[in-house]
Amino acid sequence: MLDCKHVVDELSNYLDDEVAAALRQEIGAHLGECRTCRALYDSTRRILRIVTDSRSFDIPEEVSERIVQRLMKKIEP
Amino acid sequence: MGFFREVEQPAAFQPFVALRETLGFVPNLFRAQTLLPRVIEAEARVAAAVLFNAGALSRIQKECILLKVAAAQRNAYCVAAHWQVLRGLGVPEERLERVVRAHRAAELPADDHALLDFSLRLSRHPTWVGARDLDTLRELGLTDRQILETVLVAALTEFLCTLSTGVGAVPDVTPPVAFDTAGAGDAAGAGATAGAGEAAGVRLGTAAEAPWDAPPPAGHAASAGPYLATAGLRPETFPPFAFFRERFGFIPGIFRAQTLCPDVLDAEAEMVGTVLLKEDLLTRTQKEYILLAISATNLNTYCVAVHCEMLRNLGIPDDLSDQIAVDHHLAGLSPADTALLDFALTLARRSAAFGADDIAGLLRHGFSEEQALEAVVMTALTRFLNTLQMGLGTRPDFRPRRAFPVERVNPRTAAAGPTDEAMGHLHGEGPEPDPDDDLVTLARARDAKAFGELVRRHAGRVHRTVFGIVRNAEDAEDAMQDALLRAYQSLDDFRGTARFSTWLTRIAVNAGLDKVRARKTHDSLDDLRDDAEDGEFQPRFVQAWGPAASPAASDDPERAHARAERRALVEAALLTLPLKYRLAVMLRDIQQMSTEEAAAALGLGVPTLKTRLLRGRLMLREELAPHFQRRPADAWRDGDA
Repeated sequence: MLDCKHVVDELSNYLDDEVAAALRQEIGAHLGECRTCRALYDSTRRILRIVTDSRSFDIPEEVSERIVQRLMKKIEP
Repeated sequence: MGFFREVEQPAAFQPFVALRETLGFVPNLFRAQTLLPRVIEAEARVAAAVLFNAGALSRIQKECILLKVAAAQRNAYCVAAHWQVLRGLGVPEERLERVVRAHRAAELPADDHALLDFSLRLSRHPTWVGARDLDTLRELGLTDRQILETVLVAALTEFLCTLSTGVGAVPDVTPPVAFDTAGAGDAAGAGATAGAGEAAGVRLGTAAEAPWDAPPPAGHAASAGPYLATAGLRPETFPPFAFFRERFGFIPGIFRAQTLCPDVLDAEAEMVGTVLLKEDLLTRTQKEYILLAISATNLNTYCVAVHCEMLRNLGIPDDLSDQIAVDHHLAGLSPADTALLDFALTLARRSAAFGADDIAGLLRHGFSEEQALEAVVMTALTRFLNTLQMGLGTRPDFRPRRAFPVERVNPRTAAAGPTDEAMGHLHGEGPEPDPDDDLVTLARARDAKAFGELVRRHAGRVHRTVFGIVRNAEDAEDAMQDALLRAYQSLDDFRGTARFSTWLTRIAVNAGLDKVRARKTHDSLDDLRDDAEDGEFQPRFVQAWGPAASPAASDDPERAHARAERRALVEAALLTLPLKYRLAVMLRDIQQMSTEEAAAALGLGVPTLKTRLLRGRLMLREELAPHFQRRPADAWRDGDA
């Protein structure tokens, strides 16, 4: 079986579904047995969902429009 | 009766049934390991294969070797147990007394004397053993099979002695009186082995009286092994070899040299599988550290070479392995791993000083009782393998580097390049058309309105990118302005090899970095390189997600905080990350770019991006997890991992 370090090393790829099928299976098996890695995996997955959905650093509409207007003045003939 | 908690085993637990049948009782040595019944099974199989199975040596010969070596190791437990066994086999007490005190004075056949001499030499001066010693045995008419069995019994004795000390096994019967003065007649030079014999005030003899203590002649060192004949066993027809080849990618020489005893090999393979390869308690890497550190102090070149190689294939850099072999205290290991190696080395090298305090110390570092017991068994296994190797004279296996099944042993290597899936995503059915293509074509023809449309489409992306770098609204607006103008001015450079959005992001990254540089503050850009210098990131917060105070907090963490509050938490956490990790997470997880796009936008290779992404995500998780779950932070590897 894989050891915890390898599972942690592959955690990101595993979350992104970017591991080969055989390795994916081994990681899955490890997560089924190892509480620590399971906790790490679960919480990272949930945190990433929060991060992805957070709309962090979205640009306020008025700022966006101000920048576009200023830019257009510079580039329009 | 020992350092570890006893767990009642079912009446039908096979090793105990077999021990009751063979010995009439279950030795405390095994009772003390009931926390790990699988280990008892593996040990019992090896012990039975070495001692009980019919072979070229008689059972009494084997037990005498064991008794003699255990006495030389000053191990009361093993001496008492095997004295008892030999008495049961009908050997008179006086003869046993002679074997323990002065075997050369015992009335034994010449070859028995020689086997005891050789076993003592192997136990006390393993590095001195050479082809010459085996020739001496052969001259007396001993066969290679008999010599192999002798080496195995000596190695098993080292194993059992280490184990009994490590688990604190209380002797099953009172040790014989002879043990108190063991070796008084023949343990010459005992002072050379730490602890052994010194307490008994033994008389130092001459080399003639104690040939096992005589140093080898000059030029002897590292004489060519392996010393013993072998039988032609092949992995196709011999399962233990198939097992080694599958798990290690090669069949280690130490096992190839024992083919005269195939039943023992079978038991050893099971022992390796059970003790070394199981990963639910100590990790494979921690176990390899133990093997490496002890083998190094035993000056066992073979085992050091093999286990450095194994660590390399587990992703451990060579210089770290070298440092562990030289002095693990300077290797920058975690305090827990350092304590683990201190523990193993004390048990292996200074068994007289080992005690319950050492176990307690390990538990204080967060190891569980089961893990501490596994460390004891690993230490015993290492001494077994070290002794075996010295007796067999195998040469280091240098083949493994390429033969290892990379995907199994080192997933990191396997994943160093883009995986098939990732490549398929990029190239499998050809890249999807860039939705910006039409507008880009117009913009390149200096259609300002088309470019304005592209800017509106990607304003969010550019803003997030530059904000993630400059970390304040004012600079972000400036940097964004710069980025967009630069993009417009260099549209002719856009070749369409990447998506427009990726190309634009790369320009935004550069504009953001320029802004930070221009600011000349201490927000250093130095950390954009040198990933290797950052060392290992150890997640500390490994609390399971639930159960939380309210279902809302555990099942749907999003609901535990209002949307605006959540966003503020995420932004604050993101801004605490070092720049290079922040950028990787920003592009991949906030911007939702693919791994390849994010790597391209940052001008990095995919493996580097992935490394930074992993670390960034773990750091982010470390920052954020406490806000989204109930229980306080816990320590990494809190013992029940």
